[in-house]
Amino acid sequence: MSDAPLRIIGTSVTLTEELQRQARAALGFPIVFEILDGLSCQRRGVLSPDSYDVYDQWFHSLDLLWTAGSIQPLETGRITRWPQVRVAGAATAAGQAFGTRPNELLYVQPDRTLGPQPDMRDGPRIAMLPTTYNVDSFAYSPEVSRMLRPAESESWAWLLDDRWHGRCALSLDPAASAVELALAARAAGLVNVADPGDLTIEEIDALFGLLMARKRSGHFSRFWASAEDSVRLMANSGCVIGALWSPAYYTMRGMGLDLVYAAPAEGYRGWHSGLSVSAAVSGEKLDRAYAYLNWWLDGVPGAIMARQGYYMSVADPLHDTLTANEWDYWYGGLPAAEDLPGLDAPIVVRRGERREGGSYRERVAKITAWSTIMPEHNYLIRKWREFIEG
Amino acid sequence: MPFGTYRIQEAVLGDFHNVSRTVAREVLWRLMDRRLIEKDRKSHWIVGQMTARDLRDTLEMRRLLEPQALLHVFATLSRDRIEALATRVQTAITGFPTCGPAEIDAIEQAMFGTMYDGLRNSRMLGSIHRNQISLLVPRLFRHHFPMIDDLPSLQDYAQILHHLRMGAVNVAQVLLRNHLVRVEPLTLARLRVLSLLPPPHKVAYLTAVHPEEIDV
Repeated sequence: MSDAPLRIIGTSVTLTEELQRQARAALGFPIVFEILDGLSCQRRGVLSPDSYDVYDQWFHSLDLLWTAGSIQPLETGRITRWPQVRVAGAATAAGQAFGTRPNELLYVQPDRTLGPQPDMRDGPRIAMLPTTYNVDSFAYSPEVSRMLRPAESESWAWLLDDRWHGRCALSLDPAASAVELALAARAAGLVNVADPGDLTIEEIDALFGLLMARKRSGHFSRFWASAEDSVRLMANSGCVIGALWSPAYYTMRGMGLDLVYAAPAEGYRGWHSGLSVSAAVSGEKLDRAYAYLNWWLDGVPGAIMARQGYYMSVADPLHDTLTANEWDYWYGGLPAAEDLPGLDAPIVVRRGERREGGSYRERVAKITAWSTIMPEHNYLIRKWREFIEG
Repeated sequence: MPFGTYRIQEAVLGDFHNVSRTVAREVLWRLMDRRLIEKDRKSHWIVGQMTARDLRDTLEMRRLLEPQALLHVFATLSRDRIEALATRVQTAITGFPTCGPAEIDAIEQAMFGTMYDGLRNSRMLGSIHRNQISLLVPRLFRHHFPMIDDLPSLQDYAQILHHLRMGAVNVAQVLLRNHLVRVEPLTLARLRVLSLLPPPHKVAYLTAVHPEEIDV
């Protein structure tokens, strides 16, 4: 076998140090992990398929990767646990939510498009192996809690609220942030948005007119590119509310910060991650790529993901790799029976705490929109850059 | 432009092409007549950003206009020309993707450009030209990404040409309309991918502007 390592690109939230260590120990061949921020990873995935073997990132980026021909179809017959794979939200109301519904991009169709139905003629082929997923919202500090009205419901509108003017942090990724801000503007009654996952030209103009004015007034001043950035912003820069990924939230809980993760009345923004293989990979390297993909569904990676709040497309093996108390908290939505560890901290959940939103089924059912590359993405992304840079 | 909104400076445009400002302005007026560029309130020449809506709208116009144009010009199309183009398309299919992007560009120019040259209705011809911006997206795309999804289009062209050779222009019209339906989602997806590319080589007469800076 060749000594050329399997090259994985992804972000820090899935390619954690523990996951890297476990993969190297389990697979017995050299692996190189390259951690990038979300947008850089997506860009590399599309524009430089020769520079990686396995792409570990968002399902919605398939729209770009597949169209560009940067990744190759995967044979589900080579995925050992394929019959156990469940794509988040496929059979629930979340499967009808706004944005890029992951189950609708799963299978390679005879005309090379991606669709929800398997093409059985040649064995179903997929563009991305579904792995981890979650529902996202924002977190806020006790300072925000003290400013709330009695019985005030958590709402995406809070991202635009003047009560904490200038102290709001956002993600730099428009596939997530544009959806969140559309939900926020709609919830606040400031912009009439019909579908937050498919903004029209007029809606984009109206939304960014509002956002640019808010930015000029100093409301938005901080943007983050990675979970680590968001921890720095929320922990040190005076931000009291911000869009936040689950790993960053539990990292800060591990640091002793008292933040609340919101379950907005309008619903969550959902996302799904997965693994794709570069179009440039073949031979032995392809065999190793499949070995890596199969390992991801075996239970160990799922447990690592669970301890930062993420779910897995194949959940059954996690009964062997999580303790019963961990399963009950992370998946079951039950009060923690004991203090629970995170990835980098001995305690990220205190005994008696319950995950906001409930069990994984309840939380996924509350997805109102998925992260998405919108039809007017090319128009939106230029507005987004002006918003960030302006 | 798929890459954003740009201002065109007519004096610089003239200098760039070694023509007078008057000639440059005349060219710009003609482009504005074709609705390819516009003037803002400050009389700046603006080439706007291509949107998904532009592509949907112009493809809808193409589906209305081009099958009818094909019917009109059919009688004037020389059999030799159709034969030659059919052979060229078949060669591209056989050698795909080694034919390269420039050959497909040339085939599409023959299929959708010179094909309608004999059209007597100059208003229809002008409308067709104005609505063919969707051809720009696959052209840019195949010069930056592997050619994969261009093969079905070549196969569509082969079928259209086959029926023209057989004299079955009505079938060719249906196939052309079907082709223009089929490519819409692909063209829209490709436009989204183009958002990742840096703006192309800068030319002196084009200046990127943010849309809110345009005084319309």
